[in-house]
Amino acid sequence: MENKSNSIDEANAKQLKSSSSAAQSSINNALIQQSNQIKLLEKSYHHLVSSNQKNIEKSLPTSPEAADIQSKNSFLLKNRAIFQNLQTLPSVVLNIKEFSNFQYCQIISHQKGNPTAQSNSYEKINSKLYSSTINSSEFNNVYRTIKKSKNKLFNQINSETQFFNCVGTYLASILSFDTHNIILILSHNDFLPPGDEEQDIFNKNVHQLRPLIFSALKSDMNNSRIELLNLAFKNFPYRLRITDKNEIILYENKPITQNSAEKCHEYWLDNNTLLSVYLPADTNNSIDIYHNERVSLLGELINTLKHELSNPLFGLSLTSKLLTDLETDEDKKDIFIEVQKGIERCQTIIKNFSDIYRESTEVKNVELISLIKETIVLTKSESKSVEKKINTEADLENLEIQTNPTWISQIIFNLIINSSQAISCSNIQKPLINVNIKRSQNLVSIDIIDNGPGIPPELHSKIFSPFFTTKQEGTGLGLNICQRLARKLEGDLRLTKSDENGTIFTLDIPIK
Amino acid sequence: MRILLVEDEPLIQKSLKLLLERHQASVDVEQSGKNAIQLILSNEYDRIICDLMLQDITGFDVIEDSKAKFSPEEIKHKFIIITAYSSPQVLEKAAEYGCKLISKPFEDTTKAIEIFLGKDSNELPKN
Repeated sequence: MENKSNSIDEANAKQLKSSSSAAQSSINNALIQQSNQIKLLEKSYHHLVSSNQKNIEKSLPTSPEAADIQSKNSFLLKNRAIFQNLQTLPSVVLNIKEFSNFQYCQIISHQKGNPTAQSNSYEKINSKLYSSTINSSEFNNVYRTIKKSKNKLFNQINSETQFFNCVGTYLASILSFDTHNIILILSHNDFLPPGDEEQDIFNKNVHQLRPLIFSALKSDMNNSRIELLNLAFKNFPYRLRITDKNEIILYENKPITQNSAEKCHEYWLDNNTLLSVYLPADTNNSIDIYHNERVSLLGELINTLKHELSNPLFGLSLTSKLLTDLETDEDKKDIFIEVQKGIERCQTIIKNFSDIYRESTEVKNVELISLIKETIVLTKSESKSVEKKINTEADLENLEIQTNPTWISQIIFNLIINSSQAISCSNIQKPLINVNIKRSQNLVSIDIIDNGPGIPPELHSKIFSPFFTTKQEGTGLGLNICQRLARKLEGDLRLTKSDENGTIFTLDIPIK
Repeated sequence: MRILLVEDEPLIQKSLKLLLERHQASVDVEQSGKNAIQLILSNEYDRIICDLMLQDITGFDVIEDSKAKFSPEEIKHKFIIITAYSSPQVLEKAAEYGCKLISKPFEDTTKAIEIFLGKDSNELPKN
């Protein structure tokens, strides 16, 4: 379409220079007149914009003054469009000298593939514009009839169709474009048929109307595209604003909402135009919701499991205690004691699992080392082939800190599972995870050190981003959630080192 | 001392019965809540140890139906609830009846047995 437009413009320019045909020149005059009117409007539009620029800058975008100016602007823009659309084209045609004898002009455009065609007509006598829609099959029938006709002269009385609003005889012609077919009708709107000379002029000159029709078609399509974009922008779920470099609002799809926390993302469309998209301030909220949902769902499942298992386990525990007491044979007594220990381990694991998936904001005194030990037990299914060591100084063995044990447990659990999975993906001779606990003045640092294959350097900056994952069935939320939990603890989680010798994650927890 | 133990987990039922009998208590056991109500109405028990989540009805339903025979004061002293679901709502309801509630698993079995036998407190009626 664009190419064609250029070639037509070039052809136009050439024809303008030679100006051999009188009809061509009057059509060109109409075109020039039209484009001059547009230029004039553009000029006044820009003048209005620039003269009001200062006022707009002074006033808030939602102030009555600005609204007034904006409505003036849109009025001008609207008027500018009138000169280019298909609706007014019939009146433009009738103003061309060669066709000025005619009283009536109708132009029917059919975009190929559309179920309907658009008809626009103009009657000189009462200066009225008519618009209607026509079925495409009806349009195609008439189009073919006109195409076959030699003199292009028709009579309304003989015509099978009802969609020509003229009276008596009329001249008809067809024009074909890449995307559209056009029927053009001219009539005196009386019962005297156009003379031979008129027919001649019509048939010779009608195709010179192509550029005029083409420009109207193009602008019509642009307008519908703009309408579509406008609709899309209006329905876009977030606030959009387009401003120029002087911060004058050119477009805004929704009013400012004072209360909602939004984060502005800016994109320069060109040197002068800035698109601002206002997204909810913390898109991370949805990740929190996801995490909570997952924790609460798992929490519920584990709670059910806990209750269903705890009763029979308690029965076993009572029985084994009783039998231990009753048994006099020491060997058998030992066996009952072992049974008792097994049951207690089951009870502890169930309790710890239900604790790790508990929705808890509870802060309490926590024995850090035993919490880490308990958590490591829970990772056993993923980490059973990996040796795990907890290393700390003697005076930290019984370290108690005020913190949220659920969150710490969730973080350590995730890190150990991640490390175990990384290790099991490679052929490490002696798979090992070291958990080193150090204390500085008011901070406990827990290093989770694995001897896995390491994270490729190019991924180091991405691993904490939400939805980033290298696992086939991963959600990409694990580390992101861990880091957020660490920050909720007023601590931090970071990647300290990762190379071919392994990876170190460090969790810092403040001591209060 | 005559005790009714309403508990549907067979191992808990049997072990508790044995443990209590070792302290010279006479223990009837029942796993159905509805049958337990019949037993309560037709026998004289000094103590009724009742699980909360029974297969047919809840331990609270058993207490409710026992109101036909016992005064609130008697209910408060005779009934002891044992439960694995000690949610705040459950604790609140137990408090309404004024009866004791022991969570399963017992933290200290010996202590629990003492409570069942009324040896831990003077509040329990002497028989």
